[in-house]
Amino acid sequence: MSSSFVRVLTLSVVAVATVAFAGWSRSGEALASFKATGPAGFKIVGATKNLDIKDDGTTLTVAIKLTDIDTDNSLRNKHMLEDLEAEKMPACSLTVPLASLKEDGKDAEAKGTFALHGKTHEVTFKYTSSCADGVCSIDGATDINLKDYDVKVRSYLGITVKSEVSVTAKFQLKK
Amino acid sequence: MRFVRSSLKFLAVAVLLSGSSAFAYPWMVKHNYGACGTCHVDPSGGGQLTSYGRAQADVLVQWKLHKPPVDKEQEVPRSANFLWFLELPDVVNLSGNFRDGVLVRPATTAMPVIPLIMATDLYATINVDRFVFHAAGGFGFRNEVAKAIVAPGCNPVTTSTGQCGPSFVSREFWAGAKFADEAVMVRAGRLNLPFGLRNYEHTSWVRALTLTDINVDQQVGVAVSYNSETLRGEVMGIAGNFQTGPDAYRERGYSAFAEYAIKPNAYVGLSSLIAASKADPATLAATTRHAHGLFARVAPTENFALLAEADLLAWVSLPSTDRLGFAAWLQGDYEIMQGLHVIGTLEGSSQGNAGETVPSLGGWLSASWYLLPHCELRLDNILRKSPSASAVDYSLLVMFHFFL
Repeated sequence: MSSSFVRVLTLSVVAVATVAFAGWSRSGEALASFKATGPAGFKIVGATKNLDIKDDGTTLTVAIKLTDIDTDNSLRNKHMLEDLEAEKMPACSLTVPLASLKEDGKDAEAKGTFALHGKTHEVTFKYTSSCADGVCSIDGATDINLKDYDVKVRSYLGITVKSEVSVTAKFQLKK
Repeated sequence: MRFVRSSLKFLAVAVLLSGSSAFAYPWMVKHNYGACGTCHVDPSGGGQLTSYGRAQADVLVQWKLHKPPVDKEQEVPRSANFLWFLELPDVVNLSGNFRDGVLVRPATTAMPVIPLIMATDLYATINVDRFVFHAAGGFGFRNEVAKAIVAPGCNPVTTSTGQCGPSFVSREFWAGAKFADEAVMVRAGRLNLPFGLRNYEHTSWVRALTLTDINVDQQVGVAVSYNSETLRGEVMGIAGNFQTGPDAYRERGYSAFAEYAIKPNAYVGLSSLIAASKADPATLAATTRHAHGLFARVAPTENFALLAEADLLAWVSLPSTDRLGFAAWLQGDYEIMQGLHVIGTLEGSSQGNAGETVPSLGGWLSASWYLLPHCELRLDNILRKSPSASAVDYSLLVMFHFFL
């Protein structure tokens, strides 16, 4: 195999990788959620349909406002916003290099930067993507540890959630 | 004399109709509360609430025309405390359960309207580190409660009136220890039997025919429960109900359930019970009864919960009798607004008796209003048709329930 062929092949792969998911914006319904667990099977699920998606040409950022998250419990919402200091740091986001995403990925893995509580941390997330007619559906999930983001979780009437929290996002993109 | 006759008449009718001390809300699955041990002292649900459960009762269950803004929500609702105001130390959890009502049976000429005192229980729970000590005690005066009477000892068959009269009743008393981040709890004492939906309609056939209601069907035994995010269950070895006698009546065996979350809002479970006594109180024959079934709790929307249970029943009294039957329950609970529920239920059963060619069928149309902190007003329209009856039996149950 000639070295020029290898060079061309390499450039092609890089070019394909970097154009994947370039120039996309959100389309249709979306849902972001988290699940926290505690003692004796206790769990909290919070969700929002308001996802903001930005493609700056090199990265894709999925962001939510913490105040949009509803845990189906107003007191719990209050606790969540207080613990995350949402007044000072109102957003949560995952930023992913576009080059690391595949348009047709099944159980794919990629790395991104998760931002919460004014801190950022690299996370590995799993996702499934499928594209048709210029619209791509993405379903991704990752686990974060609130301790990595300096979030102090309260104990309320004997119940304390664990610091490990799973986060999911499901949305559609179009060109 | 007339008063005595009236009183006896009242008691005689009341014997036929049992009340409930129970409160358990399997529809809390709507609020992502699949496991029960966070809100209830009993890890499998029902009965006394924990401090956390009391707070959630005010936040999630109580009727509210408008949910308060996030910043106006009280840290711990004051009304969630014992007696609506008294903050107790963490080690002590006191409460009480009172349920009173009226039963209307228009087709009954003798006493179409019957006042009911269903439960007057006080609860106490002590939490010391991983150890939990729980007891319930109260007052009851019906034969139906005879299963839970502590004193005076009573056998309604041998009393001159056929009634047990006012008695001290204790439905539950147990000691337990929690392990593995509270996922595992081992308990010994007088316990609710772990089986099926822990629904509080104790006259439902799925509870009444399996003898697993949380009104008076508790038995003494040892139980191990497990609660995780996706799986919960409990296994209990049954040593018998020592508040009835003679010993030949007491059942020995096991009762168990396991429930798995197939989705965050959908749970399916299996139950199994085998209990044998040397003498069935009704037939006096040595009897082994079986109940094995499936149940499910599903919340397709935030306002709607579907609860279903179907159990296969068998009564084995060797060598002559061998009956097969079933009990089934399907209930939809729609929360019109927080604290106001409309509930529709279909049920069916068969006890496999000779000549019972078609099953008994029933339908409930109910409404439940959690009008004030710790308070519930409930209406149940109950229609039931048994194979032996020529007409559908209708009854209206109006209940007022509050806990301290």
